[in-house]
Amino acid sequence: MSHGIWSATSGAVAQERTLDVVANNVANANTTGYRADRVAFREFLSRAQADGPAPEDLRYTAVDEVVFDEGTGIIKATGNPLDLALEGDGWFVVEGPDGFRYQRAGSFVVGEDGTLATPDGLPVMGRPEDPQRPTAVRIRIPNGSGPLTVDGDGTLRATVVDANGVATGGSQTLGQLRMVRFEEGDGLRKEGHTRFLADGVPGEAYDTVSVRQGFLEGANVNAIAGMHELITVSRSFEAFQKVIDSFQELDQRTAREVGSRG
Amino acid sequence: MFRALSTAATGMEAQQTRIDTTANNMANVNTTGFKRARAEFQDLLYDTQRNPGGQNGQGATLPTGIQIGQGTRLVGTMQMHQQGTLAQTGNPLDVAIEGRGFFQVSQPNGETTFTRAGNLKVDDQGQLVTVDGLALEPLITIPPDAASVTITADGIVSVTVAGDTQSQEVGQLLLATFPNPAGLEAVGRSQFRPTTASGIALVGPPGQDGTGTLSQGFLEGSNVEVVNEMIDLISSQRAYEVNQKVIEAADEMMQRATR
Repeated sequence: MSHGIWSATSGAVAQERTLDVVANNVANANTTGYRADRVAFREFLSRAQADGPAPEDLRYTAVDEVVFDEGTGIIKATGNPLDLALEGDGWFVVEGPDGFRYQRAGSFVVGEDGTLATPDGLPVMGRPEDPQRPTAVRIRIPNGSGPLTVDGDGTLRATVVDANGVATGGSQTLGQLRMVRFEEGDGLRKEGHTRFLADGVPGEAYDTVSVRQGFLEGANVNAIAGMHELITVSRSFEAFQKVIDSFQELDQRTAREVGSRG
Repeated sequence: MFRALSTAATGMEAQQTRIDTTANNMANVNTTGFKRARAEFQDLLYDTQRNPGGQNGQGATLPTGIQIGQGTRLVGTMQMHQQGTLAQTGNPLDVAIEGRGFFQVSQPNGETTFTRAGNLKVDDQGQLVTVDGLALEPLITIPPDAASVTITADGIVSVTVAGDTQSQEVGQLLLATFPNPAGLEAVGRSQFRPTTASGIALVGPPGQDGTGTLSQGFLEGSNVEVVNEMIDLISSQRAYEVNQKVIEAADEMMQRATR
């Protein structure tokens, strides 16, 4: 039996995995704040090598990591006051059931009891007093607030109204959005619903990022690159399959010819 | 089985929803006061096969992990409340809102809905009503002998009675604004209903504190731009195709593998 067949099989399996990743990228081509994934492979030496008579050149490949592309998606004007795009290195913070989550997607709504929230209802966090030990600071938009404005540093303001709902002419600061940034090694990873989680407390990002009101950041998926990857995946899979076929043929012939001599 | 198949299927569904939304936007390109909608998506949960920060066989900490996504889902459709284009009609009862704000409309069941469609009419009792015959709030009555109606930018309605040179004020149109108009629920007939996402209406005279002003003799068209919708249509169609190609590729690979 030829050993090379295992190397080819591992290659085919790795291509199958890659297709899963490419499929997710193109399925999310229109997801606000989505980050495209990329697969990296690694060559592994057979473990069996040390244990005895396994051939020394048996190597196989496997998916080593799936990393997301940190490039910015296309920023599109929407004109909605609660559509916020981040320009630069930084993330919004939302309060999930199991702690803080981070996202670039800035399509927000006024949730229950006036809390600024994501479309699926998680509160968006305001700037905490102590950046080292951040607490959950919700931003409330009081009933009957006038038009909202959001400054570049994430400060939300609303027109002030009196008890009869008549605007008094001033504006009221409702809070400042919490914006954070990550360093290499913070273990930032995807959770789904365009949210990310990380280990530890991220640093503040008020110097590296600014908010643009009325804009949204799309996915950073490149459809052409997706098509290219797709073709590469199918062709590589085909090639691995051919290698498997040839090994099979080789084994068959060996069995037949060696058999006929005996 | 290939996960890619179901992942690509969610992508195709998402593009279908986008095309449905685009179709409705396009169909309403000439609807007075129509606001275009947009579908909003999120990615699905990830299958985490190895967390970043995990350890490899030799005890070293790995900086990255293996997470494979499973597709996309619709989280909502949102109304885009940019200004529509103003068209001059010359009709004194056509009123366009320039800037933020909505007219308030009394529904027969007592509910108040909100609209930007300012093609007003006068009903048999002399009240200012929408094109569907629903009264505006606050009620404004135009006397039967009125020869002309004037509506100022700040909403004051005055009439001139035949044979009289002095005009008399009969009321003021008020506008409602919302903290988050994108969260309004479209109920058809160019009407919107407040939700918890939109916040509660703040009612005030036009032209104050960010509220829009009124233009008599103009109508606000839809804010649908055919070129943008066409671009959305093409991009949805192409994205649909790419998802379809993923299914084809997965199918082809399965065929080869099982041959």
